[in-house]
Amino acid sequence: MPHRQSLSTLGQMLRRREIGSEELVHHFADRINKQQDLNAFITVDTDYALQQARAADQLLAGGNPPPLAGLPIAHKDIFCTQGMLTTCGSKMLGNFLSPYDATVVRRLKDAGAVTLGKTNMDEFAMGSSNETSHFGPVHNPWNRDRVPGGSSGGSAAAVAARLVSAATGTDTGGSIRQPASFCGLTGLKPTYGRVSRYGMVAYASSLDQGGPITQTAEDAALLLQTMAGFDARDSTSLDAPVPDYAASLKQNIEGLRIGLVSEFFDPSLDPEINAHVREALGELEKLGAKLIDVSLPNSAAGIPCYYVIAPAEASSNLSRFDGVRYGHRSESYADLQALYENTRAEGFGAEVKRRILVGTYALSAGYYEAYYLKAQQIRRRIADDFSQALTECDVLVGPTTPTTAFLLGEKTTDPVSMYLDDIFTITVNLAGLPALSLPVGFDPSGLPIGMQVIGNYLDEGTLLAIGHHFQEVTDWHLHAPGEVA
Amino acid sequence: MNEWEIVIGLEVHVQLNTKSKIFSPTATTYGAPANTQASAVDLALPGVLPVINREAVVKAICFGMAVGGTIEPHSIFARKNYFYPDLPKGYQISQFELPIVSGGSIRFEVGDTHHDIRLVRAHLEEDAGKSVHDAFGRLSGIDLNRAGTPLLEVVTEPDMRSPAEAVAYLRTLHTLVRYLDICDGNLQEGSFRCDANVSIRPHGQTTLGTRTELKNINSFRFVEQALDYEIDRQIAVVENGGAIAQETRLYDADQGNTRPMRSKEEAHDYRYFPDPDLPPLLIGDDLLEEARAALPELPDNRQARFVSEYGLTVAESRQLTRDRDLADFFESAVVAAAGDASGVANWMGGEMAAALNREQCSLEDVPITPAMLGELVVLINNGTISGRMAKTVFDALWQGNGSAQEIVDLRGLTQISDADSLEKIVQAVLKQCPSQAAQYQAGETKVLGFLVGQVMKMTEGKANPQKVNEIFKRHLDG
Amino acid sequence: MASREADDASLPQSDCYVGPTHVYYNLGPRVFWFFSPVPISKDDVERVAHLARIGIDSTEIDAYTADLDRILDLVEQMNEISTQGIEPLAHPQDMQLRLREDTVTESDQRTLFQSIAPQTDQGHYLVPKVIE
Repeated sequence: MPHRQSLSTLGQMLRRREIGSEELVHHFADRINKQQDLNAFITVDTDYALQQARAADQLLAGGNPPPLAGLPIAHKDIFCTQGMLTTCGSKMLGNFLSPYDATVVRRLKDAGAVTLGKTNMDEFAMGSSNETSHFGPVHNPWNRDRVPGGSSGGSAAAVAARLVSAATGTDTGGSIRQPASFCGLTGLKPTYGRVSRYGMVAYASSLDQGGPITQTAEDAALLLQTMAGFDARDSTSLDAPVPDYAASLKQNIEGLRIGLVSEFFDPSLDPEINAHVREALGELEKLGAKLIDVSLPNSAAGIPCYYVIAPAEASSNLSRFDGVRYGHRSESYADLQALYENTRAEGFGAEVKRRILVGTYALSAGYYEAYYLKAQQIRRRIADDFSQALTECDVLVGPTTPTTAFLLGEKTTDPVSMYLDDIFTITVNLAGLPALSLPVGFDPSGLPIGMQVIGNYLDEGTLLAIGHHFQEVTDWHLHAPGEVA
Repeated sequence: MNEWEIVIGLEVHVQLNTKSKIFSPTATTYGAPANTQASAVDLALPGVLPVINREAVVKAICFGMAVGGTIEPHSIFARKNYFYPDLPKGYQISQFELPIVSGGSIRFEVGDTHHDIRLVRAHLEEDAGKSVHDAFGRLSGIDLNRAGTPLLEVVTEPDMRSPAEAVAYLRTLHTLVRYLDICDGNLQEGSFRCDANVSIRPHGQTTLGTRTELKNINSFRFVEQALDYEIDRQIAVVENGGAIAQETRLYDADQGNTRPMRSKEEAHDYRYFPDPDLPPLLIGDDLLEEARAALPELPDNRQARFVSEYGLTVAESRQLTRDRDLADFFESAVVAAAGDASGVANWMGGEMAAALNREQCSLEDVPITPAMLGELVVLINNGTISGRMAKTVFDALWQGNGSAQEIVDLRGLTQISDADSLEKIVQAVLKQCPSQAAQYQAGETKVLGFLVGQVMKMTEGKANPQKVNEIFKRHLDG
Repeated sequence: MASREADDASLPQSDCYVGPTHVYYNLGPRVFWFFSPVPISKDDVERVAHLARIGIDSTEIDAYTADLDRILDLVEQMNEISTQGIEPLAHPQDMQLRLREDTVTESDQRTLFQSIAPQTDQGHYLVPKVIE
């Protein structure tokens, strides 16, 4: 069955003409339809996908097709897509038809990928469980009482349930890696600036970064090859050459120095997670890697620091949603102030409002130095910690998350408890480094466990190599939820 | 009135004349139909990002160099957050803590007094759109064509002590930005907009009084009127025992008064912070060199050079250099006039200045070119036409009737200098007017003017008056 | 939204509450900030909600105040780290701005852009009367 194949394998099958893109679209559309209860998608447009698939089939028949010709993928609903709704999980953009394509969307389209639909997400990417979506929570395919993680929860659930072979996500504080970990997938957050942010609805501009959520490191390499690269429309895009990631996968990892971050292996760490991550490290050692101990002394400040910087930037980024040029507009207003206040009160959910309020407060007169400036100083210390550690080793490792997927509703009454779930991922965004989450086992209740590998700036290649070599000797990535037949 | 000292500081928004906007590749042409020059970035669609225009940066550096300010090697774009329908992102990208230019000064004279107004800073920012209030009933219309047009905000210290000084500063700054070719200077189109901070204090007091801010005053005349009104108002308030409220006031040109702006009533908290979409602007030697190369001769230097190089008087030189176009016109015309600078200066200071003033237009609006004026001067100097005929030719040039030579040819305006032809005409006049000839010979030499006049009448003004004079004298003085 | 009581019960209580308002002392050229234990007030929340143009009705204000209070409590753990003399980091990798050539590449797409607008007339976006 095609859905049991990785994206890379499907690509080879399409090229060998063993299967057609149109057939794949029908197959996946059927699976999406049968598993609507997961609520993984906000928009599915089969007709549009079929149209793209037929065009791709022609390219495939003609020879010399583009690299992703005919491969069905899904986009997190944060990426602007012309001709398909872009809601960002919010009522505010519930009716928003973008007049343009995000750079990532255009690149993947130009490479021949077929967009099946747009995946569910936490509203404006603010959340770690996909429960803040205006379109309802997403269920974890491994256990439907549990969350898939967030904010790219829809993308992770869709790939885990094999409703699509791969999907895009975005990661501001862990939003690719944490859902990948909760759903048993491979998730890559590239170096800040590696993938263009143009057309990605901004949450926290200095932290946001798009990346792939896939079944394997090989698939991540395949998608990153197209997603990465300089974009003149993004002033924070890095003008650096994009290596051949397929070649990177085969990069030798013998002698590679892997740093175990002592703060990530705290005695309070869940013993099951600890055991599986250490077991995975044992595999890497067998492959020739060297394990050493390193420290990131300011890690604990990552969450407080993030919860100043991200809300502050968000409070400003989300000011454009005012009901004037696009999106939701309140029907009840007597004057301009009421138009703004009612539109934004109705259009935003509670978590988005909380973060806007916190961010506004942190930037307001008299508080800026104590909050925003202080947070930026801590950010420098955190980034310096990573730089120091990365002189002692080539990559850093630890668990991706402190727990496996938690229950739906378990943390919704307490926003702060939800924030703490991003403890291992958040500092990576503050430093702007690339990081990969890999499936390394299951807890006793059968929920996936993820390991995070953090690399140096622009060194996605080494991360993918580690992932690929590991996946060649293990099969955690091949496990799929029970429903996948 | 005399017991109060007036303190004025000005903030001028200079619209930079780039082709595209400061953060998007959208046209900046004035007067396009509403929202046809508002791209995805200008409309703040979700996901769009700003990318800065190199030319705006170079123009800001040019300004900084021209005023002797410091070009900051490291400056930051910040977001100024507030809600307003003409501000699509809900924040304006501006510069706050670290502007591109710090310090510098603007010098000028009012009468014989020299003034040196210190600048605090000049920073880059984006313009907002426009609200249209009258065309949509109870609603306002929003046009975002102007949103994102580059602005250089030039801020002075509170160094001015009278409305006249403020106006002189504005005129000097206006001349400078046009010289630098960083702004078209069009006041009607809002390319050069002024906000004024005004306060009064008793003479001798060193601390500043409470100030009011007057917004968006769009002509030099209105600046003086608005300041006069506001100063009188403040004095009246204080002398009646009241206190000045720190507020933003709007000048109403129709009423000739100022009133508080309702939208600015509440205290603002702009929550400035560095724009995460725009890394720091680092200015290195390459940009400095580019700006230096683009820097033209500045007004003060040019004025001095006009005196030394062309032998003009200081007054003439000042008049000709107050506008870069005028000065450029002058220098080109001098070349075309085979170097007769004083001839060109006379025409530009006389007929041309009068005509420009009469029709309230600028050089670019009239058909006359430096080559035409130069040719006119040449035709006078080589005796082809008389000074009187030249005025006729000038009027025709002004009307756009062709070059000086063409007009002369077409109207047969060539001066009659040929001795034989003139001799015949003189003899005819002497025959017609024997009594005047006799008067002259009797010593009433003033009558010569009448006789010459008769010749001019017969030749429709084409006779060379000097030659006619000589011929008469030869006949009568005999 | 849970009530403040319920939320508080689920959280470990610290002996010394460190709130967001603060006193500061001018010690020479730099201003140092110190937090004082005053929690965020309803007035603060109302002020901030107004700045952010988010309408919050009276039934929600307590819950938002409690939530913000707890979030700021978390945030103040920043004070456990010394940042004296540390240069703030605004962008990862200390990037620098790239400059774009001054060319016009955008064309008029008003019809497309206004097809998604709530209310337009004669090419203008419409809003309730703007008062200057």
